Amino acid sequence: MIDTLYRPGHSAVHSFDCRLKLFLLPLLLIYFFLPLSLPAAGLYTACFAVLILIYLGFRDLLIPLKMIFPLLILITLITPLFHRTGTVLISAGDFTLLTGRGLDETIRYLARFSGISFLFFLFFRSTAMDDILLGLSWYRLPYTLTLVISIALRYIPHLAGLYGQIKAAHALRCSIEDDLPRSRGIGKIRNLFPVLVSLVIQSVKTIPVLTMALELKGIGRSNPRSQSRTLITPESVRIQIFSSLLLIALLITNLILFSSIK
Amino acid sequence: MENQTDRSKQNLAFRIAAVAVLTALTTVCTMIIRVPVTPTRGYINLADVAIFFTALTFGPFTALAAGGLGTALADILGGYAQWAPITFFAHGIQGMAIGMIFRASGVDSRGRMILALILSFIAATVIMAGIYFVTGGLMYGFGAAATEIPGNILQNAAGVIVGFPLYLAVKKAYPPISAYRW
Repeated sequence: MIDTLYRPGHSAVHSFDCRLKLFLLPLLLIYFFLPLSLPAAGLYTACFAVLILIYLGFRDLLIPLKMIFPLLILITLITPLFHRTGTVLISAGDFTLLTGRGLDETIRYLARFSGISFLFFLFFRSTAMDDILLGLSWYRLPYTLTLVISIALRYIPHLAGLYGQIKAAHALRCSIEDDLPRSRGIGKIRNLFPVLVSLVIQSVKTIPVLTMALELKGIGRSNPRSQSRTLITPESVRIQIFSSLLLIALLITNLILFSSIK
Repeated sequence: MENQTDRSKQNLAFRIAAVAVLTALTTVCTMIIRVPVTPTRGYINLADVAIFFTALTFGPFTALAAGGLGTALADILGGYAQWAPITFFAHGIQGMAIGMIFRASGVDSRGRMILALILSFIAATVIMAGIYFVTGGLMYGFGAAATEIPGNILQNAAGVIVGFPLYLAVKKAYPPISAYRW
């Protein structure tokens, strides 16, 4: 099986209805790009960090941070150089390294990017891929698209395993007496090429077989034989809808009160 | 075999199967098959190779779906979920552009083939690197986003350099694939 971000659990975030999460996700994402004041933007990002900390634990908070860490350093180093107006805070001779505006912008970008990463991590960590697909179907995403994604998810581990087998089989072709092939740069790609050709051919050969299997299932007929599982509605769905509406109202109020546009 | 494929390629089941398998292949090429460039400067993945192959073999619309979905799934599974929506558009449109250029130019003569390769490389680079630059700029500033452009160009170059020979090799080794295009 493929190792997805999702980890099962019984927290409030886990039990939150997937359809509500899918509704809130784009709204919460757009909110990062709205003109909030710097403390409000920082607080908004901190909310997601706190949510991860409370519901998923400290280790899970480090996972997205670890992944975006190099980019955060890059933002810190480069952004001040592009915003050089305002009060000079650090300079080397005539060259301005950091200004008040540069610092503001850097913190804003750091908060925004970390916040977006936390938001997506929280969503995919607490929602199973099957539920996401069912939720998207509920929002009238075409059945064929969800079917493609679910078949692809089943095929990824198969093809990954096939790649390992082909690689091992190709490695056996080189005898002990042979010179070892170059394994840097272009040499590495050259060594990989026969493996890639075999993998692609094997993958493509499965298409007619899969087509027949889908036809047997009734795909493309007017009376398909397959049926999707029903998404279970949690008992507390009314509270969840109410809290979602409350959250939206809170965010709008926050935007009105703490907008950076004067 | 060819007649059977010709018949079935028109139907929905064949299209779903083709897009699903190629999506999985693109995800595997993105997540698992990685070529280190130098010990310190990271690696290039073969997502663009898979997209290039799909566009040439199966046409622009399969490349749009499989390229976009495959790379977006790789982002979600690999823990970079915040990039998934952007990746879907960047690589999907990139695949569609490559497929459309090759479909429009026709690859009968060597000259036209080289021209199509150059045009598709330019179009794919502008589209993919451009989308990443603009969205990256909005997320974390255009200064930091600009540093990713050389990596994206390198990635696209690998797509053309490996993807086109891959297309020729697969076509030679498995001729029925020529009938899979729609």
